[in-house]
Amino acid sequence: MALRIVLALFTLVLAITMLGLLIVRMRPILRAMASARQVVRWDQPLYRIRSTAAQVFGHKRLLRQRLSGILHLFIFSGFVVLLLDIIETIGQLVYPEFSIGPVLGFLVDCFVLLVLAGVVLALYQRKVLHPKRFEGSDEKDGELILGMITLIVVGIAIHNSFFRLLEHPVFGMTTSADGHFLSYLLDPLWVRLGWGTPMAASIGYSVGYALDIGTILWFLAYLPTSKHLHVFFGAPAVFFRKLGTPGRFLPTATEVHSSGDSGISATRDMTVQPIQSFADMTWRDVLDLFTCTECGRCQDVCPAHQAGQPLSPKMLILDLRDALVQQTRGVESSVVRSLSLAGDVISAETLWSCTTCGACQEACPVFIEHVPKIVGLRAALVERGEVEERPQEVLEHWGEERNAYGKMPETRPAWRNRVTYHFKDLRRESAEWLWFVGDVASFDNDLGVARSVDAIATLLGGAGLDVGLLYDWEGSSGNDVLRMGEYGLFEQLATENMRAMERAQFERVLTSDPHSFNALRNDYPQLGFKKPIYHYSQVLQQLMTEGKVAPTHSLGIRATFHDPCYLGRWNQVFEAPRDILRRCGVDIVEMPRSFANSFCCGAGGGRMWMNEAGMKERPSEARIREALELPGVTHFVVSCPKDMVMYSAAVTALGCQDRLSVVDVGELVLESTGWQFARTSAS
Amino acid sequence: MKVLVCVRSDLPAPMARVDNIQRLMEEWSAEWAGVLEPSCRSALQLAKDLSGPSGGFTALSYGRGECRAALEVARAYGAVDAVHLQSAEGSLRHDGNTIARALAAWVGERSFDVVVCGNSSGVGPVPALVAGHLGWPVVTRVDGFKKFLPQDDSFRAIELTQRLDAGWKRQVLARYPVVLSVQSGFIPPQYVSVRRRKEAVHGLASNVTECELPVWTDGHAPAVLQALTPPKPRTKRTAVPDAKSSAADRLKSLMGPAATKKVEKPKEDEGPRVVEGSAVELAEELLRFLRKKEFLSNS
Ligand code: SF4
Ligand code: SF4
Repeated sequence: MALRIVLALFTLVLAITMLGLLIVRMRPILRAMASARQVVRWDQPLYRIRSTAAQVFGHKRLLRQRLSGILHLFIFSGFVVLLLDIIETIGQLVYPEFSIGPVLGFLVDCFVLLVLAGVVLALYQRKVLHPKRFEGSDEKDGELILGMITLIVVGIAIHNSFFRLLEHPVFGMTTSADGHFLSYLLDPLWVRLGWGTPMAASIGYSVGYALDIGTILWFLAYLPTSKHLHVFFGAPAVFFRKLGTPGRFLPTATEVHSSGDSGISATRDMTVQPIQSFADMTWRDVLDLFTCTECGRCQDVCPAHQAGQPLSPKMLILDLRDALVQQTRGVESSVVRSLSLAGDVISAETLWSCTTCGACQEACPVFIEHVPKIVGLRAALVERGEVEERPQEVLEHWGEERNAYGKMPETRPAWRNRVTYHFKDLRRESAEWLWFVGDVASFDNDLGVARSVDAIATLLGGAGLDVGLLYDWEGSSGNDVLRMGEYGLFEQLATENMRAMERAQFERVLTSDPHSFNALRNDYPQLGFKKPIYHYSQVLQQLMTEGKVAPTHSLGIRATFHDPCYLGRWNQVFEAPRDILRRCGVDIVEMPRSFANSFCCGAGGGRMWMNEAGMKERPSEARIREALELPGVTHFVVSCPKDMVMYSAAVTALGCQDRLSVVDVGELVLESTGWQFARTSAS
Repeated sequence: MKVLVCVRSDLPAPMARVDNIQRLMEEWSAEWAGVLEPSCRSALQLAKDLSGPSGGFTALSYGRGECRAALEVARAYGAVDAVHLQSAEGSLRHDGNTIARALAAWVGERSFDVVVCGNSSGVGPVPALVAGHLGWPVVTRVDGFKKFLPQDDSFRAIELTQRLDAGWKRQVLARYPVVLSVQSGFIPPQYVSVRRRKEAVHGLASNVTECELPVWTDGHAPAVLQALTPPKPRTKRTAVPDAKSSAADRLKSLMGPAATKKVEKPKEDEGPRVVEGSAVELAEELLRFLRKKEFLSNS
């Protein structure tokens, strides 16, 4: 009885202290979230619950990396089972005969072993494999947590085994079978060591109990100061993630319109906030900062980081978190207060390094949204006028000529007199399809871009598709503008394009530019645009299905297909280009980084127009090297004009034109049909 | 320090066609949305830098509708006051001295320390004439300022960097009051976002001080525009950007005047050559060349 009272008192005092500490440490974090900007993420609640369960209990994303996924699953499942142990251990303090039963007891011991295996694997990973992605992470914190976990499970085994030795002499119970099989292994050991006496067993039990319950309580109080806060925030972060097509940047009306009295007005709906300070972040952004597990998966896949640029998405989150912690802890000195998030806490070079490829978000096991933060911080730089000379020039061209190249709008697209196929003029006549050409395909003089435009034009014309162009009514879609943080200019470009599209008569839009595809498909609808949008690969796939474009011979080549970020990862279009390549008799060999894990060419998010100073290796060249590793592959297939520009340059820079040809999907389809380019003789 | 910056609007590049420019010389068309003349952006940036983060500056434009765009951008850059000088005669576009006298008269009645003017060619006369009319010093081709010297009422000055030809630079010490002129690109201007510009437009609606310019009646009539002749079309230099260069460099070259046609290589025998040799050999080479070009007969 005395032992139980002592342990109960110990538990009570420790619980009050540690839970008090937990509350004190959590309050500023929760307050920071409460005072952040509102965003509503309650839509599709059933889907959210289902997918959260799959991610949390099934470790769907975590298991993409086998070893760390499995070891985390071991440790995580141990935590879930831990609850049973706490119930039993505390229950036995009140009523010694309380038991969770032999089956659950057996389960607890099984998970004790699994957790220990997980800890060993984790140490092996950290100390032996030492993956690069951990660079910059707080490894001591990770090791301390692993130590705590070990103490807890070892404590469970110890107090359960000593409990059996105390059952009869101290608690006056008859021995029962409780399923804790580890006790059967440990008891003889204790007896052999001379610790089988009631006094020694009481001490042993108390030590085990303190290790188990004491460490759990310490763990709880420690969490808010550690990266393991994801124990609390991981599931909410997954639950409240952005749903729908990932490529949408502007918030939906549902996201910003609260039915309650939170003070969000519908008129503020579509304004995207430059992040000057933490007050400009949404609560979701703040949640992200404290949910990061420092696993480094995002850093591992980041093209900017791999290119040797100063950006690491992990460090970006951690630096923001540390700055916020400074504020929430009230140690906000005047120096800290005067620092701006964009420029001081996160350097401008870091922010402008991002290609907005989204690989980081795709890799993050807790669905942290890096890109909106980067873009919000960029917007703060833009509003302060801190834009490098070259991108500034391009932004001005977008503002004045509505294209990145500073070309006269009347000359859009530059190839309009080159192809013989007569595209209707949607400024004057109606057509079923609008071909939204985009800046690069309209004006770049890259030979590959010209070839792909010719091929697409010939295919659309040959298939008898009723297609029209907007000519000088078309302006840049603004996809890059938005992601460079120039919201005002994006709205201006989008509004002018939407006005033009309203005046023109057509049913649906096809575009050869995944960046325009993304803006028109995901962001324009938030401003009221409603027409269906297709990437040309989807249109070609349909035309082939209908037999309007029919390959007459198999190309018989081995090729690899590069998923453009804004077609694949951001819009989940993976199959259409592959399907049409297969129909043309192309043997597709996938690169290690393909589909949603595709590696960016380095041109997105405005990077195409920025300096490459400090870059060790261009992402496009790293990608070409990856393709060169594939046996027998002679063609590198793209479906984006920016990719064509970047990879043509990369192949030339690497001097491997004779080994690898960069071709557009459309070119291969055209070749398989045997149709001739629809060019004028003048061209 | 009280800073005044003079700004002008221009036609946006897509509208800079001969007919529009000709019309512009007559009168600014109401349907044109102007843009800030590029050297004035550098002038605004210099004015902003000189005023410091807490100080504001005054922006002044002259002419008719065209001043609007320039003043909007000036507000977006942080100009606290916007002034529009109107001329009853509409003569302010064509005669540098008339413009300078008008500006000097207006400035002379106020207490500015520094007047900054954009000067697209670097040799435009207006800044120097303004300084002359005011009796102030002028520093042209300013590309930055080093430091403010300790200020007291007896000695108030600023150390400026001036960019000279062939990459030379020099530092000059200028006592206030002073007129500065800056060429486009000399002082990298900050970007003005559309949002800031919109806010400036709202702010501008009620915040422009309209001033009527004095009419000059000293007996000398200002110069008046008679006709405008467009430049003769030049053969386009054409080049294809090097595929090995970065995408940004490629773009830069694409955005430049170079078009997309293939470079026409000079025929080998017509290209420039360097010939070395004795005096006799050189004389022979010269004779050969002159005969080939038919300056000398072959006999
Ligand atoms: S979006 Fe791409 S470039 Fe930007 S941080 Fe994420 S992985 Fe890196
Ligand atoms: S942001 Fe996500 S992927 Fe990156 S370190 Fe944090 S938890 Fe890992």
